[in-house]
Amino acid sequence: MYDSGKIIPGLAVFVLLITFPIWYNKLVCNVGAAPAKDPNLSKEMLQGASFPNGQSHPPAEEMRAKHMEVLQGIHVTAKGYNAAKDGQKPTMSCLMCHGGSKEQFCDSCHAYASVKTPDCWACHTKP
Amino acid sequence: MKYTLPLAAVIALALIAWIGSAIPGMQYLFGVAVPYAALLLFVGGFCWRVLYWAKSPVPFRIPTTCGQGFSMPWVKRDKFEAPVSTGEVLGRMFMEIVFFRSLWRNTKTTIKPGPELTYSSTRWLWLFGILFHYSMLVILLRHLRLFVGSELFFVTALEYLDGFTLNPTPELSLYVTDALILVGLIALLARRFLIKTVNYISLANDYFPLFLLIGIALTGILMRYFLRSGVDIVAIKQLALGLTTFQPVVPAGIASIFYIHLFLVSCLLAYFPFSKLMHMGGVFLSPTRNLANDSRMRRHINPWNPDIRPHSYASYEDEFRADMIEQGIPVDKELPQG
Repeated sequence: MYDSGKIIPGLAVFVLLITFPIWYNKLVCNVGAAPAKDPNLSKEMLQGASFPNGQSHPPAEEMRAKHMEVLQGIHVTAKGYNAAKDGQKPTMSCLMCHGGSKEQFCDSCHAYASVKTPDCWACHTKP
Repeated sequence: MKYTLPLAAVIALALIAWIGSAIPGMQYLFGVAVPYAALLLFVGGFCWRVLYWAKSPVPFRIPTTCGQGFSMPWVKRDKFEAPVSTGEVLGRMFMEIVFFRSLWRNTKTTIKPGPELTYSSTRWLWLFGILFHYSMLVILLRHLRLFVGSELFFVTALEYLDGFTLNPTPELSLYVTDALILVGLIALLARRFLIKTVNYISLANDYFPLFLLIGIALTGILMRYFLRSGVDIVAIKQLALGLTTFQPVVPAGIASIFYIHLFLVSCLLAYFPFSKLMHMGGVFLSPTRNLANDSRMRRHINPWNPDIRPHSYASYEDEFRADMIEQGIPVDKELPQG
C-alpha cells in the first residue's frame, strides 16, 4: 500500500463523519425517551371541540402529522376576524383541553424532534 | 434505450418498498434490517475501494498541468494549474473539491460557417453540478436533526438559512435546497438526453444514480409538503434514534412513502461503493490532481524497481578473473602469485 500515512487518517476521518450520529448520541447527548401521547383525551372531547373557522377537530393521527398545516389554515382564515377585534388578544384555545401547558403539550414533542416551536404566544394568550 | 432499464429499476425498487412495507411485520425489514445492511455495505465498501486504490503504485508524476509550469524566475507561472509544492497542491485540491474548478474550465468546441473552429467556455455543467452537490450536502446535514438526540447549532442555522422564505411555521417553510436539488438533478439528466455527444456516451450506470437521486428527492419532497398523512415526525425520529443507538424500534403507523424514501436511500448507500459515485473518495486520490508537477526538480523512483546493486568493472573482473585469464582475455590486474 502506498501513501498509507495520508490515506488511513483520511479514511478514519470519513468513518468518523459518517458515524457521527452514532458516537455523538453515545458520548455527548443523552437521548431522551419519545414524548408520551396525552392519555386524558376522549372521543367526546374530540367531537365537542370546534375550530374558529367552523371545522371540526381532525382525529389525533391526522393532527399529529398535519397540525402545522391545520393550525396555519385556521390562523390565515381567522386573521381578518381577529384584526377586527380592536387590540383584544385571542386565546390559544388548543391548550384548554390539551393540558393547559405549552411546555407539556407543544414543547415536549418539538424539543424531541428539534423543531422550533412557533411563537403563537406573542399574540395569543394562554387560557 | 439505455435509460429505460435504470428507470424501470428505480420504479421497481420504489414498488418493492411500497408493497413490502404494507405487509404486516415487514416494517422491521425495511425500517431496520435494510438500512443497517446498507450502511455496513457503504462504509465497508467505501474503505475497501479506497484501500484497493491505495495499493496501485503511481510510478510517475502524472499531474495534468493547464498553465505555465515552474521555469525561469522571470517567467510568470500558474501556481494552481502547475503546482510544484505541497502547499500549492493543497490549494489546487481545495479548489477542485470545494469549487469544482475542472468543470469551471469546461470549453465547448463549435464550427461556425467559414468554416471556422471556435472554442467558448461553457459552465452549465459546473453550475448544475454545484447546485446538486451543495443542495445534497445541506439536505444531508439537515437530516441530522432526526438522527441526533439534541439540537445541533449548525443544523438549526442551516434550517434557518435554507428556509429563508420564513414561513412562521418552521415545518411549513419551503427549503430552497429542496427545489435546487431537483433543478440540478433534472438539468444533469436533461444534459444526457439533449446533448447528442453526451447522450452517445451515456450508459445505464450514468442514468441509474440520477433516477435514484431524483426518486429520493421526490419522495422526500412529497413527504414534507404534500403527503403529510402518517408522516409523524416523532415516530420517525424514534425510528432514526433507535437505529443510531442500536436499540431499533419500529413505531406503528408510519406511512409507506417514508419506507419508500428510506429504501431508496438504502439502495443508494449500498450501490455507492461499487459505482461512479465513488468519485466522492476518488477526487482525493486522483493522481492527475494530487501530485506536484516537480518531475524535473526531484528524482522520483519507480516503487517496483528491483534492487539492482551497482557492479563496477573492477568487481566484475574480481569475480571472473580466473576465467578471463584462462580464455586469454586481457585483465587489469593479474591473479595473485603463489
